[in-house]
Amino acid sequence: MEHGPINFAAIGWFAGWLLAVAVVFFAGLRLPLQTRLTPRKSLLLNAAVLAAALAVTVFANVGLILHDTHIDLTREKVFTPSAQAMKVVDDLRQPVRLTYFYRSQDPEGRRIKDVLEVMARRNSLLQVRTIDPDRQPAAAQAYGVRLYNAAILEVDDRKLLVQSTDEAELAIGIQRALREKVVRVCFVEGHNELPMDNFEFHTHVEGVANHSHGDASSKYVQMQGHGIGRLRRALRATRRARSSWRPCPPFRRIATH
Amino acid sequence: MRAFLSLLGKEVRALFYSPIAYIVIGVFLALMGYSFTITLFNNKYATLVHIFFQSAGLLLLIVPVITMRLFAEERKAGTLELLLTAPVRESHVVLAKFIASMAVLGAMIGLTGVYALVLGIFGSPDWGAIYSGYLGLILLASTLVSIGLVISALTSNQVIAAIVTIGISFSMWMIDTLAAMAPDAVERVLISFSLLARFTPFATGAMYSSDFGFFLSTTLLALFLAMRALARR
Repeated sequence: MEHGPINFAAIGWFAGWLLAVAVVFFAGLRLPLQTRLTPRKSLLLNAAVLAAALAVTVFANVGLILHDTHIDLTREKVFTPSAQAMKVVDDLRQPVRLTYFYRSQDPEGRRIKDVLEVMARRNSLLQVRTIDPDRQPAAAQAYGVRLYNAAILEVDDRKLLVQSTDEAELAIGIQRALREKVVRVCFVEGHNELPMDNFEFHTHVEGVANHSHGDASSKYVQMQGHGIGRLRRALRATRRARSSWRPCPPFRRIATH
Repeated sequence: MRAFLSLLGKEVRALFYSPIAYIVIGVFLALMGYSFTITLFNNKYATLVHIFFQSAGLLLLIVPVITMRLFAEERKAGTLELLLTAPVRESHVVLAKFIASMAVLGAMIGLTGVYALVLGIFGSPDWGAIYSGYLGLILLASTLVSIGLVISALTSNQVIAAIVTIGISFSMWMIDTLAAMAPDAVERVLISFSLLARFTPFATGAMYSSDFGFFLSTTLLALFLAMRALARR
């Protein structure tokens, strides 16, 4: 399927398709309706004509699906996925199953649902299924999902949950799901390390005029132990590593001489 | 060509001189006007997406009312034999009835353009999405009319024609709901037959050439079948 700038090849294909369908249709109209055949032969002839008409229709549709063109007529091109997301879809070499849970009352949820369907039409290796848990509670329950705007990505036996309405983040999720090698980052404790559960509560100095309680001011205030907490948060934020806190291998003291 | 035009004129007059067209258009516009007003006051969004979906839903009920009588009535009254023995082709008869029905539905859908004008005067609607929505409605209507024509050509009972057309139309509309329960290979086939799945991109402002082709090819196939059905006489 072609997408984005005007594709004259796709338009030419569609024009040719229209012409071919029109020619076949008007040729079909000229087929004789009454024949001098016996009733049995006439019945067989009619059955053959109907079967041929159905076959032509099926082939015509298959031909068009193979050269499908997407035209986004909206002003802000809201149904046009980002180039980054499209590249991920184009680069797929193995099937990825994406099940997206959205709320049909939520405009942003509906938008990403439509965008995902655009992406799925781009490459048949991306199999998209959209579920509104309010309308399809059984399907949502089967996945054990109680969230809106969340995608479950399945590649082979690997599963990954991404919660977002941004197709670029979902595309990154696809890349993560495709990555067979799992990078494990371990945080050790109990050996005088800085605390890993530091959540940067000290982001500002109380009493200073116009001080902020938001994270925005954290870059100006540095406290001992912030680094490790920031690293952990950064890993979660970038989602480039699985953020499940599974036990690490036992810590082995390396003897130094 | 002259015979076809006189046949078309006769069909258009038959529809517009009967109260059916006006009642259908009036009820449709009243329901859509109510829905448009309520939604606009509640949501304050300059969009017609909900109107397109509701119109599509109503078309599933309205089109069979228009098409049920096209051939069934003539067959029952015995005028179909008269029409088919006249120096006109069967294809002309079918196309004339199809175009006349589309004229009624086109007028009906076109009058909802007033809502778009209202949005244009008081807001800043996304015109691209509105154009594609109307195109989708016209394509959907043409598919439903052609299916109704086939059924009407197969029976002399108008009620049967209407009910069977409604049944087929609704089945094709929501067949994608079965897809979730089907294996992957069947799932795609079921979705590809779904009128709802094909119509949704048009209603929201995105179009696919394959959806356009689906509506067009289904319409032409059904018109062809309607013509062959006339040969049963």
